[in-house]
Amino acid sequence: MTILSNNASPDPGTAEAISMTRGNAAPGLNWSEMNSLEHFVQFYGTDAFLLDSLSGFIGAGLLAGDACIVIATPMHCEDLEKRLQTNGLDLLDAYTRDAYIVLDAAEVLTAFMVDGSPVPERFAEVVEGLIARAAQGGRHVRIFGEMVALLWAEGNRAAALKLEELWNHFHQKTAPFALFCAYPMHDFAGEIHRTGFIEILQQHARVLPTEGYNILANSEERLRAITLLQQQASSLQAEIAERQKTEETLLYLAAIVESSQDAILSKDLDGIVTSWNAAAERIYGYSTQEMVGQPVSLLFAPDQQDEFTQIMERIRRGERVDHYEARRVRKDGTFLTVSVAISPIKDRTGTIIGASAIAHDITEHKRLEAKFQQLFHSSLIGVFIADFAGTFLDANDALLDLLGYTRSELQTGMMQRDSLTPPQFHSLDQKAVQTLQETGLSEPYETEYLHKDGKPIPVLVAVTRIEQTDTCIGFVLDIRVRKELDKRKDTFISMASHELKTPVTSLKGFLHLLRRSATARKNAEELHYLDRMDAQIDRLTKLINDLLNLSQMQTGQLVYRDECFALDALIQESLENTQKATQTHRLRLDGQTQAKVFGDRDRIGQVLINLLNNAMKYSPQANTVLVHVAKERDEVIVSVQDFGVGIAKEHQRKIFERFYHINDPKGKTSPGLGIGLSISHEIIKRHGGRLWLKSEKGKGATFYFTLPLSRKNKSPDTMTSKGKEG
Amino acid sequence: MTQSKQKKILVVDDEPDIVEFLQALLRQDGYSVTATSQGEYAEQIHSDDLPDLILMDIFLSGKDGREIVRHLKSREETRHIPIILFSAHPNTEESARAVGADDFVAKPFDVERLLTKIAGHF
Repeated sequence: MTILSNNASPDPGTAEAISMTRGNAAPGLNWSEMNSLEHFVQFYGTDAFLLDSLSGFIGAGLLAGDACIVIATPMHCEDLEKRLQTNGLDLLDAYTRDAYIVLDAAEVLTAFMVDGSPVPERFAEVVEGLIARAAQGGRHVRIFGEMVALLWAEGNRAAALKLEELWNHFHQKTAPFALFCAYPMHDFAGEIHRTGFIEILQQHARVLPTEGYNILANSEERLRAITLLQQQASSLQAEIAERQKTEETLLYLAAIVESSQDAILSKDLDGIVTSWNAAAERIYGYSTQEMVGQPVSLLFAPDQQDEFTQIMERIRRGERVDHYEARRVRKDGTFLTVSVAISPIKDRTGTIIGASAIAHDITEHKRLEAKFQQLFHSSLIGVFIADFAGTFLDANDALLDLLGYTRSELQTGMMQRDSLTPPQFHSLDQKAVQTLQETGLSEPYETEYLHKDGKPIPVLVAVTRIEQTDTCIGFVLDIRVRKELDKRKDTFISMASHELKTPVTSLKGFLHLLRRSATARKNAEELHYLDRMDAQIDRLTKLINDLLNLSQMQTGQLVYRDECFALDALIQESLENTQKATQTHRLRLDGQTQAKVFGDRDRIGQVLINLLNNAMKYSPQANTVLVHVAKERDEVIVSVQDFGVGIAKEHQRKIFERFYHINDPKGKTSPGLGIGLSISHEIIKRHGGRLWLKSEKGKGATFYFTLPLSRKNKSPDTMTSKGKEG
Repeated sequence: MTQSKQKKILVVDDEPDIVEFLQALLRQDGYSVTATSQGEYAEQIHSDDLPDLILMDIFLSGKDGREIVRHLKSREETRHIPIILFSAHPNTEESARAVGADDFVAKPFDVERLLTKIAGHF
């Protein structure tokens, strides 16, 4: 053996000394007896530990006359050499005999790595060459390799595993050699490395754990150590689970904070912002990056710095600041109003380390409130807020003026609905309150309020419940002027009826007497003229009636009778009467309903006659008007069809409007006041029916109306519009 | 138609033209007609000179025909006399019937219809 320096015989204790390591740090293995066929792996925590093992493995090999190949990092190579030389080994001699071959792991890798993956052929070439050099003279070969560890460390785990496989494959094929791989344990820290770690273990015949285990001399101690490790593993697992849970809770809380519509921020005791959520970004205009680390006083206007100082003082005293309204400044310099609550933040020991602030942006709310106040007080309309019991809690000046009360009288509770309303209107108020409680708002209703001096004032009142409360807001419209006008209009209608109809009545009456006389004298010519006069008087009468009806409709005074009548008879009668007065058209009736209809017989007749007259008026070239009646489920449907000029689409909707006229392209306007269809439409609507038309320009027109068969089909208000008599 | 069987109709209207026409019309048809423009006259009729039927306008100067109807219908001796009210005003028929008028005719008259109604009461 010439491997030792000074050519000294190996001391039987040397191998042991090396194998048992210096200073207790080396693996508890006998390196000299290391099976040459083994491929084993060492995990290590510190370089010192690796070098202990490595110097044992190589030193023992050199002593035994084996050849050693070291493929490692330059640093490990250098440190190993130092160790071996300290142990008295003559490395120079070993070099020269190719018994100690040292290579830079990174360089060797470049010889067979292509595109991040080891090429088997090239690997074989490189390693075969090395082993051939080492194995001369039948020497056993020991190899230490760190190439896999390098690949692993740089994250190329697939290549590392592939390389381990190639080594294994090669190990079985060529001359026997012992192969020592080493990985720093910290490269496997983390649960994600578990699978890779197991795969590496599988690639090796023997696995040497890190330092902690190897120093234990006997199996008893090792069992204890294993038990301890198991306990540590399970407690670590528990700890990990606990931390995961905490982390999830934190994420959950963070998500709540982030998704909050309110600005949530924290600051330390110097007022420096430490966190800033998304709503804070939106509300104040500063991003998290801009604000964290900056003094929160940026949000305070220059004249509010005192407020800031006071708040910080209170926080330092451990007080919380409940929601209060504050003005703040946005990044763009505009002001906003927030409602802020501030609470101290304490650490584990209870020491106050800062404060959290939750700010709700109430700018819009304040703006609306101001707007509402403005609306409430500047309105021409009287506005009040009252509870359901009828006490006026607030009222605007318009209402106070209208009713003659002062604000202090209002504030002392003098304004009570019951005393403000004449007794005959109390039931109306009660009804309104009831609908208010049921639906949240009452239809506007006409009532009277009493002025403080006792004079009744007619008003229109609309009340809306204020959400979630037993109070309501009411709007009071002074309708004295309207009432007065209504009264005058009533008088006018009365007068007009009388003044217009009286002469017509006389004319018609005397005409009748003349007709009698002409008939007696059999004067056909006279009779003919008198008939023409009579027809014109009827036409005048109809126009007067239409105008009066229209005026009455506008004031809701048109009275409808509610009677049950046979529709077929009415249609027959209307048709016959209209036929009598016309020579140009033949009116044909088709179908029958045998239905009883509820409503005002005369008004329905008025609609039918109006439609018949229109049909004839707008079909001067035709000679037929078709009337069709039918019963369909719960209604009757009546149609009047003409074969005249038709109505273009654009007019079809407007034709039911008051005073609407279709202008003939030739400039000819059709005669009439343009109110017949508007009246008919109103009458049918009041009966709970519909009136519409189908027509095309030039192809005639068909007007339809329906009437419900049963009383139940009428909307409740259809027949109740009874006004005062003229 | 003999004098004794001739039906007596009282016409009350403050429009002279209407009164004249009705008088002429009804006389031609064989009725005996008394006419007045004074509502008070109608109110004061009594047993020695009662008409068989009264034709009366609702709106008389200074008097409401419906009040007169109410009065006559409340008096034992006049209660049985049929009264036909008429008016040029809209929406008066219901109130006319409500106070006890036996019939209602709108102005301007449909003369044939008026005569039919009158005849219907004899």
